[in-house]
Amino acid sequence: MAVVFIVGCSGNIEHSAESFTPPRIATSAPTAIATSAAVVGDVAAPEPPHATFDRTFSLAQSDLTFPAMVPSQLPVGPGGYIHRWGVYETAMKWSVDEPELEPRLITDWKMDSDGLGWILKLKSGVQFHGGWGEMTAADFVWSFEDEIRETSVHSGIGLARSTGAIIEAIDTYTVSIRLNQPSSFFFEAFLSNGSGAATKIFSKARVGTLGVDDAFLDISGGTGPYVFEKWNPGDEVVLRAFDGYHGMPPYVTTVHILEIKEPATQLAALKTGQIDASLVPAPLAADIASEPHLGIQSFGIPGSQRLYPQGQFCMDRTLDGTPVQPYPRPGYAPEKPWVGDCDSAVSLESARKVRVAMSMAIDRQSIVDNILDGFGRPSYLPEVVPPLLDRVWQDRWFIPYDPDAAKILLEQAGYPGGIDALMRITTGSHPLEVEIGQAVAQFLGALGGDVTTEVLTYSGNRPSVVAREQSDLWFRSSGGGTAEPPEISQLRRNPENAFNPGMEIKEPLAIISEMDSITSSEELDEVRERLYDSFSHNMWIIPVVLADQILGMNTDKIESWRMSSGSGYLGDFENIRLK
Amino acid sequence: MTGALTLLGVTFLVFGLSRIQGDPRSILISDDASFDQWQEMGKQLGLDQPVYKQYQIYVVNLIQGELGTSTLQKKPVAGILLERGRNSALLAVTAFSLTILVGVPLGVLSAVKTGGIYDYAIRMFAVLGQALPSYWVGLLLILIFAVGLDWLPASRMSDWTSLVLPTLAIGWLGVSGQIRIIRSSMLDALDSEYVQLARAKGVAERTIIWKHVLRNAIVSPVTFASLTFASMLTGSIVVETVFAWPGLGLLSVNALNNSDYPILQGVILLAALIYVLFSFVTDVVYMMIDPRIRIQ
Amino acid sequence: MNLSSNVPEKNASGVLGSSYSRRHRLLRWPIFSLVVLFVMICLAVFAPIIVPHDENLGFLEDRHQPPVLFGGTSNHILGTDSLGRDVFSRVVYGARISMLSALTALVIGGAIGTALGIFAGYMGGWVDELIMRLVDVKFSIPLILIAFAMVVIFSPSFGLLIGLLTMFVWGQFTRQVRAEVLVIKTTDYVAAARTWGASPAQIMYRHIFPGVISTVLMIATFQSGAVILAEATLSFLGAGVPPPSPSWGAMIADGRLYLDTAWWVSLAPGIAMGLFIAAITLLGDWLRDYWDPKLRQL
Repeated sequence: MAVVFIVGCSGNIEHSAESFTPPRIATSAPTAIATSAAVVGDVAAPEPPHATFDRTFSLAQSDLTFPAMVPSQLPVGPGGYIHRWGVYETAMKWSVDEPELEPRLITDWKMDSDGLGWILKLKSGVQFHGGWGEMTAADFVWSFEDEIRETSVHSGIGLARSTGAIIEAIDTYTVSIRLNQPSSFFFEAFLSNGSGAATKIFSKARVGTLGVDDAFLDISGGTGPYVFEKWNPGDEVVLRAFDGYHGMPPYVTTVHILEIKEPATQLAALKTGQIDASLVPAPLAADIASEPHLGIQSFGIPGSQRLYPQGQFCMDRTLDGTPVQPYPRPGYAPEKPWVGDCDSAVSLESARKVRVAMSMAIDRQSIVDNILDGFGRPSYLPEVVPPLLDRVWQDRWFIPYDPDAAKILLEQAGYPGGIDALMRITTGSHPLEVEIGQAVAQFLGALGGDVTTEVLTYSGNRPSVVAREQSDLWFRSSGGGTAEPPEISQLRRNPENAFNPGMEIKEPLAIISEMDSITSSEELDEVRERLYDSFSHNMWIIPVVLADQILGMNTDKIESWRMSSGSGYLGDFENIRLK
Repeated sequence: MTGALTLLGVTFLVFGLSRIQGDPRSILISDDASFDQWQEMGKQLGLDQPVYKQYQIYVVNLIQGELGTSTLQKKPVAGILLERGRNSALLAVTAFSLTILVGVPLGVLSAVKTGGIYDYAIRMFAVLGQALPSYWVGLLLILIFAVGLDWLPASRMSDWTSLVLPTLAIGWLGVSGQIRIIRSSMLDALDSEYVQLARAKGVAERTIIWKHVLRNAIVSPVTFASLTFASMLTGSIVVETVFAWPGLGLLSVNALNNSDYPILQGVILLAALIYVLFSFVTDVVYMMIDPRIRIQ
Repeated sequence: MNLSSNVPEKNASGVLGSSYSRRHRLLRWPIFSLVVLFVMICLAVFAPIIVPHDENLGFLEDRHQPPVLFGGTSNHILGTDSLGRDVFSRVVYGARISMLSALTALVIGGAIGTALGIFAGYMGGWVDELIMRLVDVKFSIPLILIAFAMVVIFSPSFGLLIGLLTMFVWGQFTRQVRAEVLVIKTTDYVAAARTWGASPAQIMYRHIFPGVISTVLMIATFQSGAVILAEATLSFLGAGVPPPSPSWGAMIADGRLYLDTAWWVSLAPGIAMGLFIAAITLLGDWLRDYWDPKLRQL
């Protein structure tokens, strides 16, 4: 049963480091392809590192905001760093070579016979950084409980609360987790390293001794192969290999992570050798690949770029019947072409036609070819990313580029002259977000109406979105995709939780909630198919493209870098081998 | 003193900004603060008291050096400002030295050799320096000298070599301004009756230039220089972003992106303080140079 | 030019001390400036007629075409940008938008600044004190920071941009105008007007104001370069002209990722902007010489 469960759960994370799409490079540079293939090649079992040598590796990041070193105050973004960088660890992690979860801080686990919980056996002899002692069940329990406590900002709270999760220490190395209802997502969300909700194990004694305020700033206290040597906020982070690591010590002993905000400067630093690796925006991939000492490869999961037609607030009661307050939402705008009147089926059908028309007006392939230089693909299902996407794909979900058919649909919906719209493009996620957003606006404008754009920061836009005030179009980019099942991110879009992209719609939420009680992968896929059918038919969210993440690196220095997937952050430094 | 009044004005502005959008606690406190902390801060700010009293508390706190705590980094603002301010200061001092060491001689040369080829070349250099955005200049410098020629590092603060390109990017504007101001001041002085008289008396040209002309012409350039330094220190956001230089500018960018209001407030107040100090220094320098001003 | 051969000459106003070099400079009209400015203003005014393509619409397939002399087609003589828009058309329209924004900011900022300067200079006392402190406050706060903050809080718009540029500009007017007014205040005809019983408002309007006009125009000329540069900097921070409208500053900022691949995207507007500011600066220099050498302190 355990095996079936893993497969069922892991279905969306099939991958291996070899399964990237070979980059299509515009200029003829066969060496570039060969180089990148050599970078991620078949590597024999890693040889034991030489403790006497100091091997360093440098990387650039565009934002090094200090996270929190306390679970309850660790926001998703920076939190992703500290476990991808191998400082804090989770119970299990995705293997690099196989699409499987492998144990990291636990040695074994077993599901309870009623399917409502698990028993985890912790690894013994795991030492915390900074001399905080050995990891025991108490630390495990504490880390989890701190994450889901009242004022925590942790992203897994919703799921933990809705499943009534309780965690307990049975003995020093045994932990029990109990839910009050089945959940097919819980295990992977909290216990693997693939999602933002992943539970990272902190030392309980450390927070107890230092107090929360000091522990917040203290950079010791994890269990991973690397320990923070320093973190200068907004400047630089240095990682040092941890002597007492419970697993295989890492090959690279020192990792420098430098903050360089300006993408042009980041690439200049890569070219001059100031850094050894960096993310590369697609249009410049060919330029980087043509440098003799550099190579590129796609990695991880592509980021989804999509358009939210906001204002769809027809949900007056939550799934369990609680009335939504306030209702109607401030942003409910039935006069907007893509929203419609909640009380009129005719109006809602027109709005649906408008959204489908908008979707058909976008030439996705052109964006992929011209802006992404081939590093990506059109997206037809919102936020569904490979490998799940490839596994469940049905051809009927394909959206043709057909502006003429779109215009006919608009006429039927009552907008023969096209539609006027304001599109907000938020920044801070992807170097090409403004270009892609503007291209989409141009395509929509070709339908006849007046489509204007506004560019603003994500944090500047967020407050009015959370307040459910907006009823325009919001173009949203993501850097790298997460391996988290898309249904989870949609589950959060309900009236209870804070964030909401501008729509509260009952139909998909109802289907998603069916997933909670499912344990077999066949049933899960059947529910997914229904869900994606409804998204495809209704276009509540208009998908645009999936943009590959491209890593540029110094191939004169780096022999190989096997990365597991998971979040979009660069990490797994312990798998780097230098020449 | 007028400087104090200016500072007061700035504090008034900053105070107003924090109150304008509602409860100041919503920007001064971090998202995850507890209710007790919220109440506590309310008492500290004196929110139960009339506005003018709140302002008084605010100013008194400032004078005592209490700048608050960064909502993002959870550390005292003053310490952060000091640390990053040092880096910005390094850049500003170097760029400023360039302004003096290069700008003054070139300006003098241009004035003395008016109309000649040197004058033209120098004037073109100066005009161009005031016509190109500094971030573009910075990126081009990186492209040419770091990527292309590999002579200098592309970014970040490390050893003295990393100082060169950002200094040039900031400094070109300052040097240009200084050249033009010195040139015009000197030309004006060269035209004056005093100089004509000295020439008629047969005083050596070099003495005329360095002793008389420069002394009279120095007033404007000094003003310009001090203001330039002040603005270099605080207005280097763009260059710091381009070069990933860990100074106050980059700190402000991060603070803005993360709604860290205490840091922003700190940077604005620090900038004002520096400006006022420099105005004061300028006045003192005037008095030393020109005894006529002392009488006023 | 041999300075020691200068012979003091009387100039038209009879003041001793006019030098050969000044007259020589005056005689040389600023041809370069006038030509460049004339061309650019024509481009801006006749933009809709001149441009071969829609400046806001591009075709993705035409993305990053090089200029005609570097492998491109004559369809796009200066190449295309990241969205396939014609660079030449955008540079021409950019002239219009950059100049209009600068002009608006200068007119509004100049009006406010001049008015405040006249008040401060003429009224003196606490009015003067208050206004000058206001000017100090404005100069002491790094405007770039405020601009960036405004943009994070409100989204970018033309209105916001003009507002920021006006803030940038008014202080210089107030300072210089006030200095000028302090001098004019002491002249005989102002004293005379006072003895006739003219009100302060009348004096300021009919006697002071005309006297400062030349100063104001000169400040405007010098500030225009700075304003256009400021707009470029604001564009870098995302606070400039909202897309897809082209301004020179926005175009340079947009192309900064491609400086060594599609270099023409930033270079074309950069050259245009550089030429314009250079021309206007040199013109300002000449005007200053022409009107009053004492104003060289500007």
